[in-house]
Amino acid sequence: MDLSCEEKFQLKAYGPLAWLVSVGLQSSGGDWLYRLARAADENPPERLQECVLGFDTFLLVFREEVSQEFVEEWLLKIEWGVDEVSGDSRLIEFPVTYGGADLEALAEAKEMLVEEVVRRHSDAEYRVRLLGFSPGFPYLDGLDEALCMARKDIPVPRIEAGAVAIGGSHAGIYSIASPGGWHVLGRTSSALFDPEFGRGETGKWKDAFALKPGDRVRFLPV
Amino acid sequence: MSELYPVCRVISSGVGLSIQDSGRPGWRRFGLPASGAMDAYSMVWANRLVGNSDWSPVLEFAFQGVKLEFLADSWIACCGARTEGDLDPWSGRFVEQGEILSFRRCVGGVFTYLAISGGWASDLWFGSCSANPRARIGGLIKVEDILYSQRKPNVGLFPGVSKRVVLKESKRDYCNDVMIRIFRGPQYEFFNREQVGEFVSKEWRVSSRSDRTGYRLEGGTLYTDKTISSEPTLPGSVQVTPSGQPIVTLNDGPTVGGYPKIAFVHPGDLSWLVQTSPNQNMRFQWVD
Repeated sequence: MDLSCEEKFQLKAYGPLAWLVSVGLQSSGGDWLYRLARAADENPPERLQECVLGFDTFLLVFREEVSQEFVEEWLLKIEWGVDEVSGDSRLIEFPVTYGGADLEALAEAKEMLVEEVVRRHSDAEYRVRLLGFSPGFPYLDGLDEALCMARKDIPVPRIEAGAVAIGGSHAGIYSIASPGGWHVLGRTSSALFDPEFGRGETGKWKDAFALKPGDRVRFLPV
Repeated sequence: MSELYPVCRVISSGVGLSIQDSGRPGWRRFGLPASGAMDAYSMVWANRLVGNSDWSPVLEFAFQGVKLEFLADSWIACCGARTEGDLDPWSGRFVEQGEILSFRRCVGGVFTYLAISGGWASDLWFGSCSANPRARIGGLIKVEDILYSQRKPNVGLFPGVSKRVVLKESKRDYCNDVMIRIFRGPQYEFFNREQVGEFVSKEWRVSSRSDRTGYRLEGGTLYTDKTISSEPTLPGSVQVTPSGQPIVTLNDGPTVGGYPKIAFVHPGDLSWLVQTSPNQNMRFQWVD
């Protein structure tokens, strides 16, 4: 990757303590986001409190005010690396019991058999673009275009944890019970978020989340 | 955790009674918001009144209805909303075993913070006590729960002193209408000059459909026809929904969002904003 700061990065202030990085129209896929996240982990700028991945934006939150030049300098110093990030990403499989509340309605709307929807959904290999909305909720790239369907206008008051769903051009899995507007196709028994790991030694805290950005995901019908 | 001291029994739990501290920053990229006291200013002062470190865990509740029976002699302090009851806001005092403290009526503001000498005891999740029931982290405190302190709650504090108060210049009266300073949000330029002007010329009220995840504002609608893909969202962001209603994202709010953000609340004014109750007016003022 040959992103250079002056040409392709745009920086926008997000309040006095945070800067939002984007790469504008050139962005395709989440690779630059995963690389930036890795750089922020391995070689963080001074005074960084945390970084957050958006769909095609990357947020750097600082403990104190820093200038735009300071952030630009850090971006310029990043070693993007030559290895493909996808090469070292994990593949995580989720067993799914299809038959969710919206499966039939989605099949009907797409003029497909239910089996066809299940086949297309479980044939694809997905990639975690970002975690957000709820703790551990993955926005998955790679949904079969024939299955894309805009979110419901009026969210359902409660969707259970483990619901495997489609929202717009993304697949996702509800990580905790919450209101939601995605179309539920089935459910998985695997936990996406287990806060108990957050009680133990600090080294285990990240295990509370089954997925991280860049991971590959497959759904296995059971 | 070492030995804990039973301090009080919950007779009535009121609204949203939970343990909070400064929260758990650093987990937003996993979708986990930081949580923490909604009004950090009041939390800090409550702790100072009983000789705790600023960020010791406190009890937070909204409005009124909390009633506690004390099981041990304790130094306790309360800051935040203006409540009528057995402990004056912005003060601390010695409470004897057997005494019952009731917070009967809230006449201004939203959140009250109670600090106990020695700090309330709670488990830690990701290094913080702050409850986030939606994420199954901690939970709301219920009737008949026993609350504990980390150290004996009455040791060696302020001999001969029966009451402590926050100095007048540091006290806050959350009863009045407020003016909130705002920065331009990341999508400020999505809104035309009229819209930007509307936002700061109108008086806004907090909808009763508001909670620790966010405050919905009533009093007008804002409009833009532009959209964004999901972007990181920080507490204090003023998002505009497709219906035109502004929502201020707060401590337990979602970590990413797809609504354009017209403004970002000055961090120094966030505690004023969260203490604005549905019957007070709020105005905004650009600082950049």
